[in-house]
Amino acid sequence: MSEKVLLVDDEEDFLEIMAERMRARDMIVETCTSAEEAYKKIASENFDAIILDFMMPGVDGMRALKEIKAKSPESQIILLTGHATIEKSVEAMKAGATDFLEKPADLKALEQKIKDASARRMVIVEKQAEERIKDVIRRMGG
Amino acid sequence: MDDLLDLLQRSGLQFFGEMSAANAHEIKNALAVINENAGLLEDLVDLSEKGVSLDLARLKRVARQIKQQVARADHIAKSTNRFAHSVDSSHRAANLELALSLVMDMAHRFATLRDVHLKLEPLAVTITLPVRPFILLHLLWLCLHACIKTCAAGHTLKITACRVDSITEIRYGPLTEKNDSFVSELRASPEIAILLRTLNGHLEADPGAAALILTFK
Repeated sequence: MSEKVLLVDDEEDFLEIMAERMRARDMIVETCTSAEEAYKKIASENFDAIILDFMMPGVDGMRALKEIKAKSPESQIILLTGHATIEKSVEAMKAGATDFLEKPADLKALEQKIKDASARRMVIVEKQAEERIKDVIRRMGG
Repeated sequence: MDDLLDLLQRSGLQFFGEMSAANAHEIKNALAVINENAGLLEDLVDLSEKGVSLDLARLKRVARQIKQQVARADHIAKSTNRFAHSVDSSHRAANLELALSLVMDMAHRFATLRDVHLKLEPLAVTITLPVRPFILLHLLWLCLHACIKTCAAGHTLKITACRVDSITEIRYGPLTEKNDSFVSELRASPEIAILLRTLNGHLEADPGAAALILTFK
């Protein structure tokens, strides 16, 4: 099954070409140029992975990461940055990022990370569904 | 003199580092687009080898994109180079328009992140100040940085400069808010105070126009 990915980056040239290459690899790709746009999409659609630029006008990647994780803890978010430092990387992982990559990113490596993220998300979603069923059974006195 | 030396060692180095890092980041962004375009060319060649015909119009678009990003990175590299050379000991005078243009370039990403648009009005005459370029750039940057921070998203901040008699005036405005305390807060900054003293400069507000005015005698 094709992975569904949301790309969030204010650089439209980068976004357009990254999306085209990912679609050529059978991924379903949606794009946004801001965190605010991304929030609206995430509220109405599920994504296997969200690729988020670290530095964006308005709401930056770190703040967007925290806000998305607060509303959808199962979200798998990969942060992309022009300059990866250990401090930034640790802060991102502590905030719940699935991974943290430096631009220019190797698409093969990113593709694998997206597949891994998709598998992780599936496990989380299945566990959530299982908990909901157990809860229903408990309430029915079973 | 000791104050200036101390300032250059602390804040001046920090300014130099911040600008270098910001420029490197921007060049990386341009390289990222070039990298993806190169990857796309590889993808198209792979498809062609599997029998899919090459879309020449697509190839032309890729070539155009690469050239645009190379031009972008080249512009940033040139700005970085000019900034790096501003500390050359042989430079004892600064062309004001070039200095303002360089500071605007360096502030571009910072302004974009706040959705503030910057516009430098071309100078009617060439104005040269008998000051070390790096010190002037530092002061111009601190003033511009402070003004951008006060602007609301979507605002356009204009920078103009002129010389009347022997006084050079640089104007930043309109600011979003007519904030009387803004100028006194700026003047109270130890860095700005030392730079103004060193450059024989003066900061004031134009409340009617909601502008910051920097003058040199």
